[in-house]
Amino acid sequence: MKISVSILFFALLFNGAIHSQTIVSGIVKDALGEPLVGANVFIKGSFDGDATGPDGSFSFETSLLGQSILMVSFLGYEAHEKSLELNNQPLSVNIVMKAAVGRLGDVVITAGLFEAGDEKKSITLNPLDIVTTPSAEGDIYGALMALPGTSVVGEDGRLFVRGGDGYESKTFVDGLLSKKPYSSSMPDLPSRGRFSPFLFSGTTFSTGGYSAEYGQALSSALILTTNSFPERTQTELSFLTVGQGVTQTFRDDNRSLSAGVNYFNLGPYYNLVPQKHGFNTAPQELSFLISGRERWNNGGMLKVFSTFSRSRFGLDFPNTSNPGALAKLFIDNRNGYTNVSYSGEMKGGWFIKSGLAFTIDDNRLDLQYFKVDEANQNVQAKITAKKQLRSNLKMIIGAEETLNRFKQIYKETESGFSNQSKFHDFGTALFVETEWQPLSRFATRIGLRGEHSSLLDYWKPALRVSAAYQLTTYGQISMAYGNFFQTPEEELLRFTSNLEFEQANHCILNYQWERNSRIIRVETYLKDYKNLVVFNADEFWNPEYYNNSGSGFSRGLDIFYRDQKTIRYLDFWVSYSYLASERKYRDYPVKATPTFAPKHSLSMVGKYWVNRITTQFGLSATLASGRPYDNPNKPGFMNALAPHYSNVSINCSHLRTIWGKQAIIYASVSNLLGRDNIYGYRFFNQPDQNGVYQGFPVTAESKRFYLLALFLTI
Amino acid sequence: MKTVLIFSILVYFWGSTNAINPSTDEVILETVGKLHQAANIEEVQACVGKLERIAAAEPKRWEPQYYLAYSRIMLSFREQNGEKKDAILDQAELDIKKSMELGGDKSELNALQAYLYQGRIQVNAIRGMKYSSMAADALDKAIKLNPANARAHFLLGMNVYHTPKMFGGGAKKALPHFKKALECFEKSSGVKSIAPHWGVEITRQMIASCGDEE
Repeated sequence: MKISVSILFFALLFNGAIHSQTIVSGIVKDALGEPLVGANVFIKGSFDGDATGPDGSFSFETSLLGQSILMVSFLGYEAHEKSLELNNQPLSVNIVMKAAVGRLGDVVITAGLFEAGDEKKSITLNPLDIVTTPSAEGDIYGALMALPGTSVVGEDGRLFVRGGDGYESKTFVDGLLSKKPYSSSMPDLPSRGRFSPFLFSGTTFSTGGYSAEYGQALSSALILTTNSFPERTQTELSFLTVGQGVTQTFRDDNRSLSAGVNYFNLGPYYNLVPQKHGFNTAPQELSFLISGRERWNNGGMLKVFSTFSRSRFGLDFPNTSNPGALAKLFIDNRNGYTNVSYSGEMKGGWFIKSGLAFTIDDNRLDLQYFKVDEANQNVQAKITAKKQLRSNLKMIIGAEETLNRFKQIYKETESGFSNQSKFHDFGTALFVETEWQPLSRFATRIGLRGEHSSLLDYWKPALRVSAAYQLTTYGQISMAYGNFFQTPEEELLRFTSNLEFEQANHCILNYQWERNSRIIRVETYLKDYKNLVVFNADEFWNPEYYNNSGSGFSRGLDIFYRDQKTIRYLDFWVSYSYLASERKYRDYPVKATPTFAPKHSLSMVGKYWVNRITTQFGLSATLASGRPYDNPNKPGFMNALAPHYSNVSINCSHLRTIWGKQAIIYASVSNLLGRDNIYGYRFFNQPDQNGVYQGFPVTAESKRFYLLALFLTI
Repeated sequence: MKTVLIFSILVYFWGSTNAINPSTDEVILETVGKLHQAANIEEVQACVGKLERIAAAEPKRWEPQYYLAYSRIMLSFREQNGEKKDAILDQAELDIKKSMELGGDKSELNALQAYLYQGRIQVNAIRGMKYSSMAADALDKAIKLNPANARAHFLLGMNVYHTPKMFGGGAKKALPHFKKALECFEKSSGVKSIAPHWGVEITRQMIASCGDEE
C-alpha cells in the first residue's frame, strides 16, 4: 500500500508536470513601432500558438518544457525566431519584425516611375486601364498622355515627356529596344503605337531618372512586358468600324502559340464622316502577329514575339511652297519586329535575362515634288544577370550591343536631283547596378552605365542614383539623379557623323502617399540639356554647321491622384503638370520654348462599372494651355501661342454573351464637344504680294472620332 | 487492490495525455469547424494561424496544406482591401501547389483552385470574365477526375449563379449544379474524416435562395 501511494503520488506529480502550462505572451510590432495584427506566433514544431490581436498582442499556453524556439511569421516580413526556456513560469516576449524586401507598401523608389504590374496588383495603371481610357482610342501612348509629365501634341501622336522632343522617349519590349514603336506617318498627321495593349501584362513608364539598365533615351523609357502564358486555347475575333482581326491561340502546360491577322481600312468610315483633307488613299494596314512561349524543365522561359505589317495612305495637302495649290502625298510602310528573349535561373543564384530584337522598317514617302525612301534596320542583343547577394542587397550587371543601319534616298521629281545617305553604327553599352536596402525604411539604387558609338567614335559614362525613404506607414519620399545620353537622330547623322551624344541630366524629388486604393504623388524635377545638335536652317545639308553647341532646360511640377475607393465601382485619376522649358537646338536661332511644351496640362479619367448591366462607362477630359509656334510675320522666334487645347471623350464597354460566347461591345466618341482644337499654324515659305506670310491652322482631320467594336472570344 | 490502483492510474494517465494531445486530424477538424463559425476577421485570422502552425509541424501531409489554402480563401472573403486580398490569395495559391506536390487529391485541389479564382473576382468585378472562365476550366478538370466531387459541383453552381444572366448565368441555370452537389453530398455523408467534406450547408442555402429567386 505504501508503495502504491508513492506510485500514485509520483504518477500524479508526473501527470501534473504534463498538465503544467507555460503562458507565453507579448506584443509584435514592426520597425516603426506599429503593432502587427494577425501575425502568427507559435512554438516551432508544435501547434501551440496564437495570432496577434488588434493591438499586436498575443498570449497562449503550452505544455512543452525546456529549450524551445518561438517562431513569428507575418506576410511581408522575414520570419523571426527566438529561443525560449519553457519552465511553467509565465513568459513575456516582445518582438520587432523586420520587413522583407519588396513587401506590400514597403519603401520602393518611385521617383519618375509609373509602374503597372500584372492586373493582380492595383498600382498606378494596368493594361486594362489603358484600353478603357476614352481619350486613348486603344493606343498605349494615348493612355500615357493622361499621366502627369506628358504633353498632348495632337498633330504628332508620339510621347513628349517633360519638355523633351518625341525622339527622346524610347520603348522597350521585354527589356529590348523597339526601334519603330509608332506607326509611320507624315507631318501633321498623328501616329499611333504599333502594339496592341492586350499584348502586355506589365507597363513601366518612367518620366525620368530611370535605371542604368536602359539608355539611349534623353527623356523617358516605356518598358513593356509581354504576357507570360495565354490563359487557354481560344479564338479571338474582333470587328471594328475600321477593320477586323482574328487570333488563334493554342496552349498546353508548358507551351503556347498564338497567330493572328488584322486588317484596318478607314475608307468606309471616311465616306461617312468627312475629313478635313481629301484622302486619295484611305489609311489601311495589314498586319500579322506570331507569339510563342515555352517553359523549360529548369523553370526558364523562352518568349518569341514577331509582327509584320504593311500600311499605306495618301492625301492632298496644302503645298507650303505654293499657296492655294495642293500636293499629293503618299506613304507606304513595311515594318517587321521580332523579339526573342529567355529568362531563367542559373547556377550560383544568378537570374539571367537575355534576348535579341530586330526591327526592319522600309518607308516610302512620296510628296509629289520629291520622294524619300528610307530603310532602317536595327538589331539589339542584350544580356543581364541579377543576383541577390544578401537579403537586402541585389546586384545586376549587363551588356548590350546594337547595330543600327540607315539608308535614305532623296529624289526630286522635276530636276531629277537625288541624294543618297547611308551609315551604320555599332552601339555598345555595359552597366552595373546595385539595389541596397540598409534599413527597412531606406532603399538606394546606384548604377553606372558606359556607352559607346562606333559611328561617332565617342563614349561616355553615366551615373544613375536614386533613393527612397519611408516617412510614415503610408508616405515616402524618393529622389533620383541621372545622366542620360543619346546618339543624334538619323535625320542629323545622314549629313555628318562628326557629332557627340546629346545629354540630359535629371534631378527628381518625389513624395508618394498610398493607402487603401488611394494614391497621391507630387513630383518636382529639373532637367538640364547639354550637347544638343544644332544646324543652319538655310543650309541644313551643310555638315559644317552641325555641332553639339545646343542646350536647354525643363523645370516642372507633376501631381497625380488616383482613387478607387471613395465611391464603389468608380475609379478615377487626375493629373496636373506645370512645365517651364526652353532650349536651343536643331535650327532654332535663339533659345525658346519648344512647340511641344505647354505650360499647364490637366487631365482627368474616370470609369464607372455598373454591375447590373455589366457595363463600364468611361469619361476623360483634358485641358492644356496653348503651345508656342513661330509666326514669321512677327518679330522674334516662337513668338505666338496657339489657343488652349481641350478634349472630352467618352466610351462604354458592355460585357455579355452572344451565341453563348463571351463578348465585349465597345463604343467611343472622342472630342465629344467638338471643339476645333488648333495645335499651331503652318506658314507658306514665301510672303504674298503684301509681304505677309499666309498661314493655315494645324488641326485634327475631323472634329470627332467615333468607334464601334465587337470583340468575341470562342 | 494494488493492480486496480495501478490500472486506474494508467487509465487516468492515458486518458489525460490523450486529452492534451489530440490527433492532428482532430485539431484540423476542430479548427475548420471554428473557421466556419468565425464571427469576425480576427477569428478567421486565428484559424489561419493555427492551420499555418499545423502545416509547419506536419510538412509531409497534404491535408494541412489543403485546409490552410481553404482557410486563406475564407480570410480573403473577409478582407476589404483588394491588394491584401490578392496577397492572401497568392499565398493560398502556393499552398495548393505544395499540397499538389505532396500527392494531394487532384480533384479536390482543382476545385479549391477554382474557389480561389472566384475569390480573385471579388477584387475587381471586371476580372469576372477572365477568372470565371479559369474557374470553369479548373472545375471541369475536377469533375473529370472525380465525377462525385460534391464541392466541384457546388462551385460550378456558384460560378453560374454569379455570372450575369446575359452571360448565360443566373439562379435558374445554377440550380441543377447545386442539386447535383447535394446528391453527391448525401451519397458520401456519414464519413466525417480528414478528407475534404465542407460545403453541404451552403449548398442547401443556395438551393433555397435559387428557389426564392424563381
